[in-house]
Amino acid sequence: MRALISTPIVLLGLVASIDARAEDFAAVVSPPRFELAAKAGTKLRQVIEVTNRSPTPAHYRFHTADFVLGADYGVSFHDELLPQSCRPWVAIERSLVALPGGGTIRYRFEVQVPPEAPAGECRFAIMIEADEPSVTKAGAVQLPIVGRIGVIVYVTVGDGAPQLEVFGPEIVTQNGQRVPALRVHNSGSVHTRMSGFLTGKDATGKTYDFTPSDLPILPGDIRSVVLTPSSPDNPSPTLTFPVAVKGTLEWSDQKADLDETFR
Amino acid sequence: MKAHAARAPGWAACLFTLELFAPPCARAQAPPAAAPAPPPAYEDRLIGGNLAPDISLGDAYSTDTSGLAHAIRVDALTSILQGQGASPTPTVHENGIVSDAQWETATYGDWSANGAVRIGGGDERFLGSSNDNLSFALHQRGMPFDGGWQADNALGDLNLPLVGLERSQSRFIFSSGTMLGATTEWRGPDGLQFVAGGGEPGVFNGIKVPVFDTLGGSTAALGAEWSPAPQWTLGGQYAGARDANLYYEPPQPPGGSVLPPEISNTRISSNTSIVSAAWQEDRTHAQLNFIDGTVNGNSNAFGAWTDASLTRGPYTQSFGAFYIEPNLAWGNQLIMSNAEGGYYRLDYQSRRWVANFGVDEVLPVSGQGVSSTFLNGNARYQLDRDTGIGAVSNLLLSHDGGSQTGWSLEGFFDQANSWGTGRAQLGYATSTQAQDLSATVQQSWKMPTGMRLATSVAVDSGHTAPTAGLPAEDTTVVRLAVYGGGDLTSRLSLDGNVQWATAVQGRAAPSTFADVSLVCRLARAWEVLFTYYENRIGSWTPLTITSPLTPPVPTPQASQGQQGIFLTLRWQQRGGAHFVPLGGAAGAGSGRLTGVVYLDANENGRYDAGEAGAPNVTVILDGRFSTRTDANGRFDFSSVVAGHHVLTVQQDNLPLPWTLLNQGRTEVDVSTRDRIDVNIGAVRLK
Repeated sequence: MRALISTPIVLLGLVASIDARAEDFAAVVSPPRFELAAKAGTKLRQVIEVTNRSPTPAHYRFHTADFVLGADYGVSFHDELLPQSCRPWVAIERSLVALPGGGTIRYRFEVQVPPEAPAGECRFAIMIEADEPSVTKAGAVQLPIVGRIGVIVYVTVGDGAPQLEVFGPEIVTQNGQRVPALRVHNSGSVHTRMSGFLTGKDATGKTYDFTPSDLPILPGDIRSVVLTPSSPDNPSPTLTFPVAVKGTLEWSDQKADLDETFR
Repeated sequence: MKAHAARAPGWAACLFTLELFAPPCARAQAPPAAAPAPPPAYEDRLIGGNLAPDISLGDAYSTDTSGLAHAIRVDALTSILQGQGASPTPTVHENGIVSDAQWETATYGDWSANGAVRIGGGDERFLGSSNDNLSFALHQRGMPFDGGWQADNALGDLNLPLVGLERSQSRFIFSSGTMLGATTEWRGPDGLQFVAGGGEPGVFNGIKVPVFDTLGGSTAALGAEWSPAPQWTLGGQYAGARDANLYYEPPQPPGGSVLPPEISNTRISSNTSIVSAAWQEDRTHAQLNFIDGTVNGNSNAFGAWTDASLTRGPYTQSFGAFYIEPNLAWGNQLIMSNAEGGYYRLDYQSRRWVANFGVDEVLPVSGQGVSSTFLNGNARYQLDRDTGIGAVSNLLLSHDGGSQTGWSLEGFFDQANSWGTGRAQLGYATSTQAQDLSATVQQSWKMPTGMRLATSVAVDSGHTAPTAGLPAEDTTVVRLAVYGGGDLTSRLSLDGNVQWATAVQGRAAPSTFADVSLVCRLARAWEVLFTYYENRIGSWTPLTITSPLTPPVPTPQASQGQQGIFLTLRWQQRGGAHFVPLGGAAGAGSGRLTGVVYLDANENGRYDAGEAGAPNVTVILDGRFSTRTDANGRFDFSSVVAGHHVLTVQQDNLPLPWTLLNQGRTEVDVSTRDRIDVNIGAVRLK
């Protein structure tokens, strides 16, 4: 019964700071994500900069993990190896790091892609955790907490590429608003993110721009890509369906025209 | 399997999770009898070899959070500088100390001080050595007062103050001259603002040790502004100068003066007043201004102009008209005058398009001066996620027979490529006296974390028609520029900007600009900077058409410059935390609220000698902030935002049979920098 409650906080500006009594966890990590490419038989070395924003020294534990994106893009981290993990090819600089107050470490990691590695994609996360739990106060109860940051790494090997199939419009609810979305399937070997310039009209005749969500679509995934409407006057309008949307969808180095009515 | 399920509102690659572990009581429960054994943890491989940790303390000085926010930096510089060009200045030294400091106070606003002093140089003379060898300024900003007032005050080498309406002029920019003097600015409710300042005008001088040379005479300004209604702002200001030098020439070696005496001795006295009225609602703005003044006792010059803008959907329209008679000044500085005309501008912005078009018409009021129509248009279209194209065009039509007519057209292509982000640009400009064709390729390179690099290569090919005394000339110049930097090691970093140009055809002199610093961190707050500096101005400038007021004529200039090396020893310290009074925002006026919770034995409502304090009782401010009384019943809210407050007391810890009527509710008004003492008496329960 280790984790009673797990609460993720998406970091804006990547500054995590917990008001804690024992040892602060206040780390800034850059970059937030790696999307790398390598040929089979080559080695990549990259650097993560981790800064201790606390005035007091901090001890961090570094380790790798695999991750799974849930249906709602919630993420779970796993210690054991999962399919398409890079971790057998990964070496990290060290497990424990002691940083003085305000200190920055340029933390190195390597991915040695074996010569026989097939074209495709592997992925993993580098976890940065406070080495000791802090103590915070929730009501009258003092609870130990652990701060943790996960840096996601994608490595494209060789000629791996995504292959998206767009198979159908749908209407979903996002932040309480009904918005158009597309069901897509990535039958390729590499993750991708959708983008593009789309315009459309709703049933009242009003014209909007539509922005496809750029969340990752992993190989084998079937996802809903939400098309978020906006106009110069209104960044979050309420649409009246049916809505007709036209334009070009883009992902990686591929494009597809869209001319769809959402009812 | 150890899975830490986490649910995010949206995907972000970097997640931070809090794991709340079981409290001791929960952990004390017996585990399930048949709990499966966890699999062995995955063992990470470590990079081979003896890899020492690359830890830097570059930000270390910023982590002391004790006290209020403060920062100080002191640079001690020494340099050797050598002149370049046909008549180079002698080798000189710019040695000195440059410092700046900022500190926050709890009730007196934010303060900053900066100063520079140039030291020695032996018998060699340097710019300004015969004038002042120092500069300094002391600023106090945001000192709060009751009633919503705040004040800024400053002393030293400053800018002449302006009221808000004149600071935010969209087309007619007031040049706020520098002076050695004092300024004050007060801001209050209803948009009230008062500014005043005066001193001796002057200019800053120096490369890395800025010193202030005064120009003699005096200058002063006085202004006020008021918002009588939410949409309206009215303001007015006066600026004047007495007997100040109009032109500045850096001190030269004996006999080295460039300006003739009739220029260098020109002095200016002026009186100028301006009144403005502005109206703003939603995304529509309009402002009307009148200016009137005299220069050196000449007859009054009058001016008026209006600017308006309105935004509807993706379109913003801006337009205005102006009439400004000749011979106007603002303080000791001449300002744009002798012009009448109007302008219109249309801007459009969408996800794929950024475009604008503008037309300006400028005529001289006196009949002599700039007379032109200027048309400008530019557009950028995003072809797809990675690629954008665009063009910029300018047309200047002179009304004086076409001698100063010209046009330019420039096209560009932007692309996010696998190396970073690049731009290719092709431009052509032509006028009655010159033609210029240029091609430029720029690239911002993808670099490892902590490093940055941008490069630019350009070729300019120009033709200049023969002018008085000078033959026609064809020139081709190649220009290279590099900007970049980053941490080389944990103690060494490099930062630099280098531009270089040379003629591959024609007689143009090369130009070079370099400012490259190698920074070595010696210890926690100490750094040494080695800087190579070179600024050599070439004799050729490309033809540009950018303004209705600037003639499209290449301006020949003497090739000159300076190069040298600076050595800087830097000490810097930063720390503290921003001050926020209870119940207020950072910078709000605050006072101190203290008192005692006492046992009113004789129930006369006063804290009398011999009456005991109530220890360990919780006192609550505005239902939000709490403190506890000490052993004598005293409590102290050391910083409370100025205004009305309510104190209540939790009486749980009051000894029986004492109680507080109405929870000891006490209403108080706290003034800025004031101390209020409140006594709250408990009575016997009856």
